[in-house]
Amino acid sequence: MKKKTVGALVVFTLALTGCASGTATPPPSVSRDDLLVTTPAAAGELDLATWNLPFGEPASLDPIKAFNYPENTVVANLCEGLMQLQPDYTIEPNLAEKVESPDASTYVYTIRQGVEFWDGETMTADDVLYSLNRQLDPDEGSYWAGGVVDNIESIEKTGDWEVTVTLVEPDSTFNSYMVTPIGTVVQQAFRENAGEAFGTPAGGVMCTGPYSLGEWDQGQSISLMRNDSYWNTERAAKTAEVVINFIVDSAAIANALNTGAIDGSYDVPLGALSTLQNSSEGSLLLGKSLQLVAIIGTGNGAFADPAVRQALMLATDREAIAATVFEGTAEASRSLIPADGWAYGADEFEAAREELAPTSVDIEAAKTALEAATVDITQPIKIVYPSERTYYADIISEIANGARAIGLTVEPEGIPSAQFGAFFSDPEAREGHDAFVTNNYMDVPDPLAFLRTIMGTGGSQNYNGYSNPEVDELLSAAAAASDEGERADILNDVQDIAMTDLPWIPIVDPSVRLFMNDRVTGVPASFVYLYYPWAADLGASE
Amino acid sequence: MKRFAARMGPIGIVAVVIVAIVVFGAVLAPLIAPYDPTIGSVTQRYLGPSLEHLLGTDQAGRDIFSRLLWGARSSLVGPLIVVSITAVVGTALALTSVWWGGFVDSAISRVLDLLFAFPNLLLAVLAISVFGASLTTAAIALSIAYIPYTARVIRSTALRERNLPYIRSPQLQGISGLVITARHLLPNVAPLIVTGATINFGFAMIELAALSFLGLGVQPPDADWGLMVSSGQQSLISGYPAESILAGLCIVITVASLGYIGERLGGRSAAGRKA
Amino acid sequence: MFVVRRLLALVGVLFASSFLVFSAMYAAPGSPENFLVQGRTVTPEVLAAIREQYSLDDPFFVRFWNWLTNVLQGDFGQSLTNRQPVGELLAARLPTTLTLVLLAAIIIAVLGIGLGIAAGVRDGILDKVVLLGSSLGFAVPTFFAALLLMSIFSVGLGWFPVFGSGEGFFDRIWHLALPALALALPSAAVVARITRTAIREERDSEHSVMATARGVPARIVLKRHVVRNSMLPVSTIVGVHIAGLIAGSFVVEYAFTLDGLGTLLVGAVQRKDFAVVQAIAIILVAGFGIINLLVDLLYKAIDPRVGTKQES
Repeated sequence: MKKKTVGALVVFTLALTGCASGTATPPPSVSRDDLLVTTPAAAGELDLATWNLPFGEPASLDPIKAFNYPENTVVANLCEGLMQLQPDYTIEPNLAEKVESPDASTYVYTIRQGVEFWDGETMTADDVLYSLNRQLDPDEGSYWAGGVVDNIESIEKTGDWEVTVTLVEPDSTFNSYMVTPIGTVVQQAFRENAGEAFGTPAGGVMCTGPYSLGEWDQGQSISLMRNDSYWNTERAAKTAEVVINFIVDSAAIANALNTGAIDGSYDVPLGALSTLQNSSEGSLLLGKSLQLVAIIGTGNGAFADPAVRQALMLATDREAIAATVFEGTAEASRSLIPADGWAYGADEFEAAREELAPTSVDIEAAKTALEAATVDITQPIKIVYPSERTYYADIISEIANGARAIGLTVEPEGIPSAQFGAFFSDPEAREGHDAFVTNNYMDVPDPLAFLRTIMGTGGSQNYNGYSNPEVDELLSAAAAASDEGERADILNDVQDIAMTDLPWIPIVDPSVRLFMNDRVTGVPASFVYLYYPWAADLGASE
Repeated sequence: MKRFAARMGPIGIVAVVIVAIVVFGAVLAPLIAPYDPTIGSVTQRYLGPSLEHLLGTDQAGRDIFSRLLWGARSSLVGPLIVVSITAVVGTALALTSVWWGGFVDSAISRVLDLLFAFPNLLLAVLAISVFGASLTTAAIALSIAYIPYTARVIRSTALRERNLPYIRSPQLQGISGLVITARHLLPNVAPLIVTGATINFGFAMIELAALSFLGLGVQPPDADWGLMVSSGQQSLISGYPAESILAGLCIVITVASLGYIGERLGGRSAAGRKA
Repeated sequence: MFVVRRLLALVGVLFASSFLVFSAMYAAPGSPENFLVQGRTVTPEVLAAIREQYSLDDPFFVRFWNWLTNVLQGDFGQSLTNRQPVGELLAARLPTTLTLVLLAAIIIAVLGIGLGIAAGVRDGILDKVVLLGSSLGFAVPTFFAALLLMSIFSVGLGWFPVFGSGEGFFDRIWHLALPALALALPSAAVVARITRTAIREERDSEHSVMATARGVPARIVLKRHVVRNSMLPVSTIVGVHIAGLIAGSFVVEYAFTLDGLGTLLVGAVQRKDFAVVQAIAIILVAGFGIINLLVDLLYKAIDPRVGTKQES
């Protein structure tokens, strides 16, 4: 009897494998012009909508600790900044009525009156002062410390409804950071009262946003309740309650969205794409993004040689990666600056982009580039990735193919996701490894802000000790330039150096992958959901 | 040979053949696998079965048939390490305990009790956190978890034997304990060790596969059946179940065959009892 | 007396194992504050502040002592990742794991013993099916069973939910049905097998045959002799497997994305969230120990002749 069963099993198995015969045709690549900025506006209100955070549960809802996908996606709806990023990347005054900048080192904010916290207390300039100063207080341990915050010399209350920020060095991009938690306002009294528990399920938060914090059911969900006394009546929330889940498993996410158990999600996992593209429950939409998938060098091994990096980039079929691993929802990277990653100087940036090397594979050019290498190229190059995210393994495997064609050896090395994060903050963790992957994003749509962190000496994302005096000078000049066209030109020069020195190898520019059930609509499709109250736009389709 | 065949019975023969195929596949993988199991191009992903790729390709474009063959290696080596260490150390501890008795016996028993109280997986997770995730670490951690079970069984049997004349007599004559243990005691517990090893092999295979499934054992892109079930989950959702299902079936068929063989060898229904 | 002795031994084991766990976490490479921030850079000052806050720079024994004294007062410390009291964190997740293990235990007992008795008592098709099923069933890894069940019943047929553990009694059972089944399957197969064998042996045993020869009705022979006497080895096996469920639940929780202790543990170990790992380890060891104790007590209750397990 066992033989028969084994036989039946074999037949069953072959039948299964037969299900997937033929080459999987990758869906046609979406062109940049087709990427969305918004989705159709909501037609009506809803009582309840459910959403998902594919990167897991927020560790805290305290804005100064909100510094990554899960936290920011939630906090953006609860707490507000002095300025607000719009879906089309423009920046509008928000909790500040207006901002005046007599010079690039001074920013004077006129605070809006008549804004209430959820508990009914009025927001005052003192609350603003307190919130901004939290960034500078080492005891608060803000994750936003360093970088831009280090450049703040003082924050002072210069009037009943006026706060002035003075910088150490001139920086024309400073104001755009007021859309991030650097500029977010919380209630001073509440925060002082809550102490350690602030931002945790026990302590909660107290902000001014279109939603307030409802129940936080750990490990399961957070619910956002509509703030009916929100100061901006034109932008009041359309859904009374939004329940946000934390499913990270891509199969579970696909199933939940496909069965309508969850109404929508940003950052839909790559593994779920084929299921959701054909879903009858809703649609998969692609939006303009500020994201970049890149390989970051640690300064060790053969990867430390720029010639090797050039060669690898030219030899890797990045277009194939965009077409297969990302199933056409990404574009091979032309530059270290993600496509459309700017809110000014569009003409200048577009033009310079066209001058850069094309993204197609060029083995001959790769081999030529490799000749300039001075390191021992026989040593294998180990690229580290978070082992749970298998799509990285596929990407590195493709890089390995390209490497093989030019005589280099590249090997993937998986590390548990929980420990992978250490690569970004612990130099010791990076020892013994040559490179690691990143799914990075621009905080604000300003190439200066982004390039500064990667290529500036001592930049917060400068992991391989890259230091180029010419670059530093250009960056300072750009920061001081008040004319946007001029700033863009200077940054194009930095871009050229970036694509020659390649401190990071840019692989693809992913688009925003948004899934919405047919019954809901309204949320922005562009990459603003970390700092823009997207849930307030969520409503009924009809 | 004939006696062996008779003992196995017709189904047992099939089981032995299956195990033999798996072992041969594993040993000969470098020679007979058509492709390198870790190399593939994403442009070749999810191809169906064909003459070039007997069982198709996975999400990274790697040949599934080659991966199953190479995967047999790690799926067999791991349990082999576990079973060997467990048998050797467990038997040694048990026999030492029985021979010396008294304080030594108590001490060893206390340590084993402590190990008993530890759920296997917890031990493995902790060991892996200290030494890093790999097949070797997982195998060693699991061996440590299995030793108490083997030691206990061997100990009970050895205790019974210890006081029998054929052991006592040479002892009184002054022959060294080591010789007596090796010459007389060991052969009598040997069948128990073998049966236990066969059964533990199956369990070890499943638990190691589970550890790889959790990301704590074999690391990608190496081929391993447990790992393939886990990494194939994505593909399953996308509509390409081949990798997960085939790898899972390999595990089931191999472990079931081993269990059946162990049962026939042991004479009793041994399936499930950790010897 | 026996019970008291065992409980004392359990306390000793708990102490020793918590020391072991603490040492392991201490020896593991990497430092927890670096695992806190996932993939974004923080300044060294922030990291130093975190170390300060959680006394991560204190010497080993000081930290262990502090932890121990706190635990004895009921304070399990704070999670590094969530900045929350560990007690709360665990309390939120314990019900899921407990329900899962309980459901699986019931399935193992009912399905395993039931099928085993049915197969052992009469020959025929059912016997053959159970024999085959159990030979294959025990070889199916829990995670594979989970995958198959999920793809057939959740995704394919949509009869069961795909994620989460549900709210309210019945909803929770509905959500945990498939995971519990996946968890129970291999063990149920083993139990069915052992039960069948035990029943058969008893059936053929001297005193059963004698009883039938004496004219005692078959049904009474069954109940009084066969089933009752086979319960001894059967209950041992059931007990051993239920104890093993606790650890097995990790895999199922991972596969079905349940918010139980298992997923929390694996993540906490990787992030070196000391307090959480310690607390869960204690729960696991204690749970394991208590279940084993209960099994031994049951063993003694069924057959008072049997002494404690340790002596041979």
